[in-house]
Amino acid sequence: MKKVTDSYIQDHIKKAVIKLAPDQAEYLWKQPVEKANGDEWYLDGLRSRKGVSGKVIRYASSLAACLALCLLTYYMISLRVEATVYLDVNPSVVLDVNSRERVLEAKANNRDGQVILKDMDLKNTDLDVAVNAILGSMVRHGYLNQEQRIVLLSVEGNNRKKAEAIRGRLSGEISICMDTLLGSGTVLDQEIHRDHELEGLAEKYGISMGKAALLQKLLADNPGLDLEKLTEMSIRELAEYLEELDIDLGAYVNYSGQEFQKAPEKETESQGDPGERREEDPEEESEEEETEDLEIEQDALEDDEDGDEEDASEPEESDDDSGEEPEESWENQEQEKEDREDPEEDRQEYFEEKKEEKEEDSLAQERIQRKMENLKRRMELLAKKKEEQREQEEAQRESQEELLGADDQESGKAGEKPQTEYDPEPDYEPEYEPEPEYDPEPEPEYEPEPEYEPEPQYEPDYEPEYEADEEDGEDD
Amino acid sequence: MLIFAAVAYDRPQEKETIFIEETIFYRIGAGDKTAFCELYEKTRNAVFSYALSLLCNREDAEDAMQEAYLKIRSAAHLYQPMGKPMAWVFTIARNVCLMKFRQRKHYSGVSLEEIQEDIDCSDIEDREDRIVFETAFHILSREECQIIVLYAVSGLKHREISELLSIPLSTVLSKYNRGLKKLRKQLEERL
Repeated sequence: MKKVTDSYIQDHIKKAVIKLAPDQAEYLWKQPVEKANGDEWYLDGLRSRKGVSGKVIRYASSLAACLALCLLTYYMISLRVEATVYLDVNPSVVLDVNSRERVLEAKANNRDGQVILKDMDLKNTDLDVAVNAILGSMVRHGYLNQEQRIVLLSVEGNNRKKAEAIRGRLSGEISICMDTLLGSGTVLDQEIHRDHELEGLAEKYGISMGKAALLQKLLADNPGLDLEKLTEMSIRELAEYLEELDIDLGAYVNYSGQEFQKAPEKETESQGDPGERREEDPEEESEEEETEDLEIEQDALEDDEDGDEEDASEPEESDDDSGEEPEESWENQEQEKEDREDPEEDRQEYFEEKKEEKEEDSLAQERIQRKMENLKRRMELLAKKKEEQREQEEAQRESQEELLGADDQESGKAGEKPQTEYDPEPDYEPEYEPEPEYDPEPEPEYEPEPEYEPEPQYEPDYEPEYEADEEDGEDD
Repeated sequence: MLIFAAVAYDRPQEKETIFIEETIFYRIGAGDKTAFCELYEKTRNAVFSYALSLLCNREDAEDAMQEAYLKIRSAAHLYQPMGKPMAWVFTIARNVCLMKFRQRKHYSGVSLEEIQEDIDCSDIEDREDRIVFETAFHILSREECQIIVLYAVSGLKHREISELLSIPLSTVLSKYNRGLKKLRKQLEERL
């Protein structure tokens, strides 16, 4: 048996074919042929390859498919809702946002919201621009004004970090926008998570998910609240109502501004009454005390110059006289606004300023105490003067009565003398005229009359003068 | 030494690939006889073996081969260089063979599977060559025969054969090995 290998087989097959293959080149060249135009049947399978090779077509088609896939993916991502922003004042507006923070859809949750969004095409606009436009529209339509400037911002998103970032940025943006439009405003912000219960609550009462989330939290802690009543309230009304019930709204939502940490709704109500705001901010209180003390000081100086008794009672009246306080509070608001814009960067400066303010406050307090003591002394002196004058008057009256009694017995000449004796009376009369006005006020504070009566220090100064007069009169 | 010698003997010989300049078709299209003769001489064995493996009939294969070269002459001016001149030649040869087969089927009314092989090997003088060639066409399937003959004669690689026959490369390789194994076994008995 002969061993057969692969090469052996191939070699023999090749030799056999070479033997069998006809050699007809000359014959075939002599045969007449017609030139093909490319549509012939024997060219099937070659026409498609004209110009471009199969590899190029394959690569090009795969590249096009990848490109189409990328475009499709990008398009799908840009159409996907990454976060939902809810804005509630009384108008309720919902903004669906994609990953590039562009508005996919703006919806209204109530009729007021429809009014706000009327004639506004916010689709595909930047989220910040859209929020600014909505706030501007709210101001134009009167939903945000000096009395009502609380906005509830709620953000919901699958990506918590993204939602948190949007909430933080938008809160600041809205705060700045409200400051620009209204002078100041409060932003209540919260992050919410959609669930069936929340959706049901929002659908049932026709409110936004943000407001529904807030009410849900409120009801969880305060089951006695009337839900239907709360759903009908605007955010400002809700804040006022909760304050009446002594419920701290800060436990449920964040506040964007430092000035409304305790009761933001107060700010809106007490804008025209700075006395209430003074209780909220201790720093402002100290500053306002300073202004009061300065007024007292000025009044005291005027007292010194005029020697008028009326001005002595002004320190008490100055509590009600706070015409400069709104300006003060406005300056404070501006300072706080600046602090709020970038608190992290200016934190150190802020603390230094606070320290300086405290030092200034302590110095001012010391000054005020000193001035108060001086004022007290002056008041005491004035009170003593009054008492002495009264005593003198009484003494004069007594002496007059005595003189009149003596004149009855003597001739009518004596009656003319007292007129000359009491000529100086008009000099004192203007001093004692305002007594009835200011008597009731200084008396309860100092009540010094019995205390200073026995004091001998001032008696010798005045007594000899009047005694001498009386003696002169008697002598006359 | 023996091991090296055995390895050297078993190592398959380097295939003689057919090199054709692509410009040869422009020359043929321009009426250059030398160019046509050169192309014919280089490719006739491959084209004949391919036609024979497709048609399994010597006369038909010779007719198909003649016709294929006439078509190559008439379409040479349409050739566009793509780096595969042999593929262009084989495509025309296949189309001609398929047309031949359709005509034969039309006249005889038998399918490709029912066609009886009629390969006259009387012209092959060498006994071993004749036995190997006859055995290959008798015991191998049509595809196995095509692959082995094309590989042995045309100088095409397995990948090029898979593209030409529109058969996956793995199938080409498995059929090639299986066909050779069958041939070896049969030839060892006959020789």
